[in-house]
Amino acid sequence: MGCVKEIAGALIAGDADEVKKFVKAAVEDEVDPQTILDQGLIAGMDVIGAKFKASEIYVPEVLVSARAMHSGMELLEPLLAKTGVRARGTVVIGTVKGDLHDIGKNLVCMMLKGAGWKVVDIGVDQPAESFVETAQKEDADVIGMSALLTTTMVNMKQVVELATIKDCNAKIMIGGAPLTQSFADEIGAQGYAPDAATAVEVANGLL
Amino acid sequence: MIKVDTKYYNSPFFAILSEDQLYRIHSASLEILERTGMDVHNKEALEILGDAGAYIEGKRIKIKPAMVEKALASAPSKIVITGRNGNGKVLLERNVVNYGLGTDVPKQIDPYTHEVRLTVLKDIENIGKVVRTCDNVDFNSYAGLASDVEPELQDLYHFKACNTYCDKPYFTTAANGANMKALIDISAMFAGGYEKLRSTPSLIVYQEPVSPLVLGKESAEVLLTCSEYGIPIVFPPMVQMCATGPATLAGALAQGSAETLFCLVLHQLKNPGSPFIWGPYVSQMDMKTTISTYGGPVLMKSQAALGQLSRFYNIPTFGFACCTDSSDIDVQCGVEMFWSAFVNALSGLNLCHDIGYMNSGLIFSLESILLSDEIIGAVKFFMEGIEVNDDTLALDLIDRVGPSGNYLAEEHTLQYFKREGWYPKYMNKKTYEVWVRENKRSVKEKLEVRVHEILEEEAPSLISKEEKKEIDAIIKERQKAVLEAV
Ligand code: B12
Repeated sequence: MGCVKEIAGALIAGDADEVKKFVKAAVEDEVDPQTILDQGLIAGMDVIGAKFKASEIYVPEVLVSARAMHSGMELLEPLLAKTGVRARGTVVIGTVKGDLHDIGKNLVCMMLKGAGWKVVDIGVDQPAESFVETAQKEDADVIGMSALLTTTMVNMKQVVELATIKDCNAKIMIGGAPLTQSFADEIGAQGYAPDAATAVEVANGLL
Repeated sequence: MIKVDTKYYNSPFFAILSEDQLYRIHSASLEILERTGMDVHNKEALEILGDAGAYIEGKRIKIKPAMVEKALASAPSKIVITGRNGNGKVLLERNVVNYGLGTDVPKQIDPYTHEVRLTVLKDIENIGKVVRTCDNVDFNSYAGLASDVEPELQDLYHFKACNTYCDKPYFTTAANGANMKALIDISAMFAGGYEKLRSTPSLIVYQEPVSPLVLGKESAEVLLTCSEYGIPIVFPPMVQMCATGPATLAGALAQGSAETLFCLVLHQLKNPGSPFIWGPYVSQMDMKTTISTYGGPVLMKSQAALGQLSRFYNIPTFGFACCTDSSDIDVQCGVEMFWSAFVNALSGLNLCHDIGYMNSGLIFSLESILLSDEIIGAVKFFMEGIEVNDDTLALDLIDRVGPSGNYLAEEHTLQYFKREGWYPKYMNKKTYEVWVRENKRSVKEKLEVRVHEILEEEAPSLISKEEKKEIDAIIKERQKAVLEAV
């Protein structure tokens, strides 16, 4: 069990080699893969997420830890698949129709991946159909939408409506500079986050 | 006697890069254009570039240095924009700095309740009212996004609202080629025809490629339409270091410069000699908060470099002045606004826009226009330098007044005190006791009071009933076309 704590520590330090070493050791010790994932990798990334949110660390440092997490995941994934353990959740994410801004969305993707989510990024300028169809195909827990323009944020509503029509039960989470919690409430989106750090918390909360 | 070998400066001067550093950045841009190229999502643009000999690999277009040099040679080094009624002028040429507003801010600080809320059309009318009173603001723009009109036609409604009380040169974006054409139609109506509009344009258009290295469909339409009609256009990519460009300023400048040059090439191919304003936005993405910074030293370094690069290219350049990342009229706002206006002037940027932008371009306020006006006034004053001649050296006067005398009642004082001194409208110059007695009024409070005065003053509409009718007819026509398209 000792190794699990060390996995989190190495991950917080952003040391991919150490993370791999400890994950390997834990697997050899026959620690339950779910425990390695939850109490090692994800616990470590949760610390990183909290530090980022508190402005204690910078984006590139978060990404270094996320990379370390992925190197641990590579070892763990075959075992997780065997035992039927899934990622924390699956999110389908994109920028809405008419909008080409993607940096914010990309950052949210990286943070979610880092936090143990399976992320399906459908890109920019995406119509409602592609959000909903992809979500159904991927059996997604969450649909994430980004919009940076007041002219395109209105397109989010169509996704919410189409999801209802198509019986897609993924929760909807939105973000982007001009958006607000009240806009999310208005269109019936269950989650809104003003930045990437909060996006992870909100997504986790939707599960 | 003659004084020889003297050199007098009319203004201070400043440089951040050496000639060789500039050349390396230019040369790097050429390499990006030839080696990496840009993706182009517009058919007409692809055809024009292909016909001119660009390398075509599907959507990816690569450009030879000779094409860039040809475009640089045909682009004008001087552009004059005059307000639609002949009032106000923006002169874009080497060593002339103009300041004005930016576009598209989603939220406004309400001038009465001070709550941050969505922008409405009335706010945009009020912006024109305030800008009209600002002597140091050379051009006007709508600086907001009216949430109470159809999004597809916002730019047209903005034109009407923003120009109602102000007829300074107008800076605008356009959503697509058709809206651009409608804006040109409206401006041509004021000018008395398309030829007149072309010879004395009253508007400047703003559109953007997508960093890194993509030219989108709609923005290419606007670029080509402006080129065709001879309407001045600025086409800056938004290079955010660490995100849409390298983390290093040199690389980010080279990329932004390459993207702008690419668009210049296309623009000049469509209609050689058409007016183009050069200059990417290159700034830092804050790696703690992920905002795209509009205030602070990184943007200022890039602005300084861009001023030099534009002189090297001899094409007018875009600047960012009086912007802040702060969400309030506070100390940070003052610091960031002041020194951006100052660095823009020192760097000789020509079209310095976005004055009054707060919260990295997401919040606007009427107070921030007035504060910018005051700041630009101070910068102007500084940039006038020091006049050194017999009269200003005042040796006879100094001799006459002599030890223990004073200069208060001297004719020389009366003659010069205003010109050689600076008198702000809002900054506090009162003694402490007087300031306390007058209720410790802050700069912010004074700005608010002035905004209320301006809003409550009667202001004549500068668009006649007949002109309004014509604008409405053009908007209606676009409305119909938009409806038919869906
Ligand atoms: C960079 C930029 C561009 C680049 C984008 C390049 C790219 N690859 O993305 C380019 C040059 C292409 C561009 C184009 C335009 N832009 Co622009 N752009 C910006 C700018 C300067 C920064 C945006 C950015 O990347 N910020 C950094 C990222 C990290 O922040 P973010 O996107 O807000 O994301 C964070 C949060 O919002 C949240 N989040 C974001 N998405 C999601 C999704 C989910 C699910 C969740 C939970 C959270 C979340 O988390 C993110 C990370 O913390 C903003 C100004 C600003 N201050 O926002 C203007 C801005 C957004 N643009 C604006 C405009 C008007 C345009 C144009 C119309 C301009 C024009 N006339 O050409 C075009 C439109 C093109 C189009 N069809 O989309 C306006 C928008 C006004 C409005 N609300 O309608 C702004 C506000 C600037 C302004 N004041 O004028 N732009």
